[in-house]
Amino acid sequence: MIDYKFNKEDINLRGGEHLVSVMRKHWFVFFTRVLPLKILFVLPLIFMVVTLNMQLSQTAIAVIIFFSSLWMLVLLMAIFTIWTNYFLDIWIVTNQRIIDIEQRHLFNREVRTLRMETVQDVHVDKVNFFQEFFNFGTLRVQTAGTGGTDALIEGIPNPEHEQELIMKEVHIINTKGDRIHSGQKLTSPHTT
Amino acid sequence: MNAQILFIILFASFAFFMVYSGILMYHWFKYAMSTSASLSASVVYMGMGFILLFIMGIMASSLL
Repeated sequence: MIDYKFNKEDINLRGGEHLVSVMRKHWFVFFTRVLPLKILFVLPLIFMVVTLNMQLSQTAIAVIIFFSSLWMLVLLMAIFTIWTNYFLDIWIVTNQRIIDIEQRHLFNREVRTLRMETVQDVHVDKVNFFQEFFNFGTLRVQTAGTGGTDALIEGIPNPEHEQELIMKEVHIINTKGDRIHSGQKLTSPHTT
Repeated sequence: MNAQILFIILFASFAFFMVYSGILMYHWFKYAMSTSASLSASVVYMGMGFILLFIMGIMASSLL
């Protein structure tokens, strides 16, 4: 059983609804976004080591260390801003819905919901060496009635497994629908 | 460089850091699915930030 603390503004599980999966982007996605900043973060340390070996005045050394620290402070804030966008970007799959919470940047947050019965197909895209090696990729959910617009989430770990989970829930929903249409008695596969 | 200028920069940096920290933590604790992850991030972020501000303070003080 997945047990997470949800923000009530984002998700309220309905009666008979349960969590199937919670997805966050692969760590490698965060790593590639933050790598340039980490290199810039380390640069002042190298600069300080080089300059401290020179015969500089006490004042010059103090000023160099002061501004190096300021540089690192700014980068620290930038790195944690990227982390925030990564950390709050989540896909939640329940047996009834797919909830796509996308944190574009600070103060720009989008929450989309796809009903399972509208899902027609789920594709997995792995487009480069790193995605194959670290086993992550893009999940593309094709839905009915969206004018051909797909919902997609990039950088999902183990996308084939998630694809399987979603398709399984879609199959259950469709089977229930077929039974209702044909007048058979409905029994939930999760309660039997 | 005049120590007074460094202190002005230090106080401006401190004020900006605190305001920005407030914005980040607001997001972490309001929207995050795990309180422990938000707490860990806060400790690391604030810890590193205060260490850097402390170093800046020491360097500015050394010029007095």
